[in-house]
Amino acid sequence: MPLQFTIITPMRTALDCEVLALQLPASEGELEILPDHVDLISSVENGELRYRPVVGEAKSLFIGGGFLQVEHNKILIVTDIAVEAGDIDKDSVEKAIERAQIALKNRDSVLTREEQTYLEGKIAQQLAMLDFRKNKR
Amino acid sequence: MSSLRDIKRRIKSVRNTSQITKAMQMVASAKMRRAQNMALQGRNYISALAKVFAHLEESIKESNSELMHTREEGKSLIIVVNTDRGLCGGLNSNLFREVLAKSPADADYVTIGAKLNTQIIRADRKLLASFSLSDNFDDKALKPIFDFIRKSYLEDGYKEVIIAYQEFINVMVQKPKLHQLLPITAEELMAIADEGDYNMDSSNFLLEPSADDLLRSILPLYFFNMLTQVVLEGKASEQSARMVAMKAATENAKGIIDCLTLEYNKARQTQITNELLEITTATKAME
Repeated sequence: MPLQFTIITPMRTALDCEVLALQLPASEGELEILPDHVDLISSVENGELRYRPVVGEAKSLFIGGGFLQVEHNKILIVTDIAVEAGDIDKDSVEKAIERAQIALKNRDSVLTREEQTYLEGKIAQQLAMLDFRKNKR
Repeated sequence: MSSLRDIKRRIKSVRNTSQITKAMQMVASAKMRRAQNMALQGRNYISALAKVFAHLEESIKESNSELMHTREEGKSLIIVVNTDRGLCGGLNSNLFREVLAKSPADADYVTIGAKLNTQIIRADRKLLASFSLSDNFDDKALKPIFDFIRKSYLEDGYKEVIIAYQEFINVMVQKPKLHQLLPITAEELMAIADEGDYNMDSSNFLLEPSADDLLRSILPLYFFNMLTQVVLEGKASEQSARMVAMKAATENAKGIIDCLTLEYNKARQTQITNELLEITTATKAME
């Protein structure tokens, strides 16, 4: 029995299809989900998500941090970003990293702790995205 | 009766105005479709988050997150989501009336959108800050607003943060609504989770990492997306209201043009009759 798989981001429903298997980076390490997995809620890290659709070959996506819920063979991922390798624009990602790094350096004294964490998180996410793109090329 | 030239000039100016309102209507309807899609998709996202919340019921009740901490005393902070530009019917004034009626007089105000700033000051309320967002804003633009609200709440001792906006119901109907943004209450979370029809046997779920950790990272996410959602709804309402207002204006202009054309034709007819009369009188006199 295939798994019903949905990814929801604030901007769109990034994916809604049936899959046979799914691998993703969870907070406690890499996680593979096959049919009849135990019900689970977990947080998800930046990284590569691989899935095997019912028809066709395995595909992969980059996903940002978020949450995963598995319930009776229904998988729901709530994340802030989900893109395919081809949709990642290297230049704009690099620029975003640069901007964030400058912001981190320049305003060291003014930044609150949260802002720092936010920027560092952003950088980590963008770097992971670049990495993912490089591996796919 | 005004002269032919006067009427002609008025018809021309009304026609020009109607072309402008027609163009604005088109622009608004294009923007509306986009804003509407985003608002609806945002609702999807919130309800997906709520699905996860539904399974964390136990820890929500015991949570000591600072975003859920209630205070007995303190002032209210009201965020008013209005528009930067006018020409959207009674959208802003309706919202403002609702806000005045439902908020305490000593509350502090922050606006997103500039149209209501003068009215808030004129009503003798304290305006702390005003933010502006373009029509296709992104997370980055929202972040300073989010930080400002969060900081005000955590450090300046506000009892509650209320956000007032026009809820998008459909193109014709928008409803002013006040929503308590902070503190996030357990009841609110459970209410959203209940809206969706999910079974709640949370006992069988494996949680990774612990429920507390999950909640700690999901609450700020929820807060941020709630804010995003409210702003999106505001934008969708603004564009629909503007589209409807501009449509009414275009139709009104058409009506005026019809009236004026009728008047113009009557005047022209009178003029012709007069000229004929003059000619016939002149011929009669010459006989």
